[in-house]
Amino acid sequence: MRRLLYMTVLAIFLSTASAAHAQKGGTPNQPKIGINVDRDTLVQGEPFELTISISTQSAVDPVVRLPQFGALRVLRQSESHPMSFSFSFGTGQKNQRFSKHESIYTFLLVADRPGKYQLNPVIVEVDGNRFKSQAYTLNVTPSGSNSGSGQAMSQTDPKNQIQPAPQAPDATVEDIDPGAVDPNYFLHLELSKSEVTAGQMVILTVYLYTTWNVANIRLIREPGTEGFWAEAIDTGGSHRHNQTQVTVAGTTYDRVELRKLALFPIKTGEITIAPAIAQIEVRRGGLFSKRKKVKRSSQPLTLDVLPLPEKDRPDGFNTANVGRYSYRATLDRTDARVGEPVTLTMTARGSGNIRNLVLPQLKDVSGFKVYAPETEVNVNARANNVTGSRSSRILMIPKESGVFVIPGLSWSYFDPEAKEYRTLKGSAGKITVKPGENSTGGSITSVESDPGTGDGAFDRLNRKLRSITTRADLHGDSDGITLNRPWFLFLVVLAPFAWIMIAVVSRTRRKMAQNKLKGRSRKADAMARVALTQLSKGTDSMPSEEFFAEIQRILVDFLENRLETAVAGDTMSELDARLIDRGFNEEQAARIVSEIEGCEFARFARGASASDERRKALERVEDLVSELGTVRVTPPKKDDA
Amino acid sequence: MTKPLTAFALAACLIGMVSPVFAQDRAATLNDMFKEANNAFWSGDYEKAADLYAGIEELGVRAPGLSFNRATAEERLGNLGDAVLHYERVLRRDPGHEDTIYNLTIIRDYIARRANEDGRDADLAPHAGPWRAILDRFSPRSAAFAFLAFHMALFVILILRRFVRSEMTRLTLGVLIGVLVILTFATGAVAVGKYDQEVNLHEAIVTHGETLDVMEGPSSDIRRFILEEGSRVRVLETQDDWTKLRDDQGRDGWVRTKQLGEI
Repeated sequence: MRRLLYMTVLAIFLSTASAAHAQKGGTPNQPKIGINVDRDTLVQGEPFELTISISTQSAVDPVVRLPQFGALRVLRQSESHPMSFSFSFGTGQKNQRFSKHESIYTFLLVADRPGKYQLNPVIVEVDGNRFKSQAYTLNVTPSGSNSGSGQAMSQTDPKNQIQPAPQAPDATVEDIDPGAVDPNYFLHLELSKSEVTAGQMVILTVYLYTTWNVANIRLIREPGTEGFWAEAIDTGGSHRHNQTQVTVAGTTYDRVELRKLALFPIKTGEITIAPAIAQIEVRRGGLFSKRKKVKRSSQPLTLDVLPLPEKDRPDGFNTANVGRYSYRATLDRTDARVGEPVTLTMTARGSGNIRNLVLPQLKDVSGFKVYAPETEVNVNARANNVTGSRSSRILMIPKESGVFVIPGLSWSYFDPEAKEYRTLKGSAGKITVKPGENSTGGSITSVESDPGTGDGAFDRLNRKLRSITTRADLHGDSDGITLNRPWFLFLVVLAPFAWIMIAVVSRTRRKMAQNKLKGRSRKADAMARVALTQLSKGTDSMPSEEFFAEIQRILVDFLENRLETAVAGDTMSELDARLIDRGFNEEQAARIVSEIEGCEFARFARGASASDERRKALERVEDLVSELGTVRVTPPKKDDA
Repeated sequence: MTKPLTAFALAACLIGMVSPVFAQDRAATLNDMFKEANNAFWSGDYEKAADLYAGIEELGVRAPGLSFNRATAEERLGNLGDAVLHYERVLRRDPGHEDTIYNLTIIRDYIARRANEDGRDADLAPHAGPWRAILDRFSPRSAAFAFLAFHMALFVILILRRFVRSEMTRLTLGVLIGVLVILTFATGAVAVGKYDQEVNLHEAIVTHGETLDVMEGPSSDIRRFILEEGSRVRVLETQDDWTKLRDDQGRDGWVRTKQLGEI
């Protein structure tokens, strides 16, 4: 079984290596170069996608030279490498590398003029060999013409065969030139009227026609509305599009309504509506079929806008007032006292450019102080119409008593359907002002001096304001500056003071402990020296075992005083470890251990009792004590004590 | 115990027993006055309400709720400058007082609109630099307490760290100390800034009439510029009954002191 496995692996390796070797030694592989355009018919001003794909197999990375696009405008370009891998085999000079590359270059182009555009060949250099693609020609047809050399819309694209069987179309569309559009999917602008009067409403709709399944649509450029007031018409939410089936030149399309705008021309003459551009994600086949993103541009549109007629035009007519309206002007009271506010309300209601309507303006009314109007606009843009109302409320304060007529309450508009001007009159216009309660006739009472009455701006201010509170901490000390209060300063100082005190105390304690150790060291040193001096006086008279026993005792006592630990019971190896642990170096520890062991030995060896030998031992111990007295001993560990 | 000492001890006990009774009486009185003022307001007698609120303030009571009510009563009386003044006083003590911020915005809008209608260009919203904007978010008390809290916490952690032996805990406490040092310095700067503001920055509100003529000098007839009612200005100096001020646009001038209300 194992042998079979080895054979298989070897066979795979050999076949791979031979293939690569054959490629290197043989003729170079010719790269595959493909140039594709995402549609059959190219239309002037309509963006299209050109894709160049290059696939090579070589030991080194290919050098690619892409064509220049000259008069074609590049809107966007991208580069991707869906497949690129390499591997090497062999060693040293025999090392061989094998690579496979695939590159895709995508360009979004647009031709501003119709005609033939010649693209230079794509050049690819592989392993020192140069390859060229065929030259490529793009035919661009004029926008809105039928002179394109591509497929007509009525032709049946084989791709469309997999579409579900169409239902009976809702309508037949005849104003689309099938030769000027992509047969699979295209954008189309539609105006409800081709000729209007200035200010008259016209509905512009952006449609997508498609024979493919559309997964997603995004309008990336709105149709141009320069020269118009525009009001978007609610089509029932941004994620829902109205969809119907229509027939264009015998082909059934799904027609998707992408945008609907009410346009109100603000200038006369021929106005061009710039094309809209949409990004469409389409797929062929079922739910799990591959998606494709494409961009489509609509055709531009023109609209003839006629000026408002001069005949019967009212004096001071405002050209924004076009549509069909009703109008009323009312006073909230016809009798008032001096200083009592009076509100004049003017309302125009109907269909047209409501937001732009201009209602009569009152500047100076004799006997009144007139405040700036408050305007309220309600617009309802639905179902191919823009309706609503515009109100203007003007607050007036009578300054003197008398009977006053409010002038200029009539209002005119132009009805584009009837093609005539209409003038409407408000119902109110006369007001009787009596003297104020606390004043003689004709005196002026300002609104500020009597704010509690009336329906004026001041009352509205009062209504807007939040009222008094029933809770207030009347006993809290919310005044004064906390920063300079004694208790505050005390607390601020307390914290660092406590920290400093703790630091000082712990430092002092540490120092005291060190001093204690030093004191012990000095004491041990002195005691050992005294004992050694006394011993040196009786060196010769003392028996040998006693002499060495005394030296051993002096040394052990010295160590116990220095270390503050009993060491008499330690074995020599334990003592050695303890000494090193407490700060003596290894050489010193070894000398101490050796000296104690020597004393132990000499006590029982009679040959070692010569006076010369005793003196030498005494000198060694004296030297050792002197040296050990300078060693800084570390404090004993808790478990050590 | 000697006789004088005994007498002193007895007197101290007596004062200790009696003073809470006086404090309770005072609290009850203040509460009653506040309720009476509120009732006057609700019955529409704004003048009486404003007087009563002012009476409580004259007793030394400085409460945001009290100033808020006084400001609202002044507003109902049409004294918009006084209303702005008292609302500003609320914000000095409680910068986050939501009702005050709301009312102040509306009143300033109203005054600005009134000025615009009369052909004057007015913008009453106070213009402050970034440091002033930060300071205005804190009351002196909150800034001081924040500083104190971080300061105390810093030293408590420093003390704790002395007794900790675990390296990991020491490291954690070290990081905490770093954070606390930053917070202590930041809140300390704000607290000192607020203190400086309280002590050295004198601001006032124009409380006189719809507009106030700001003059070239004390007793001068030459008008330099006009301020709207409710405008906030900085008081630079005072001479007799004249005050030198500076507005948000950096213009200096003199007005009569009684035409201003110091915040």
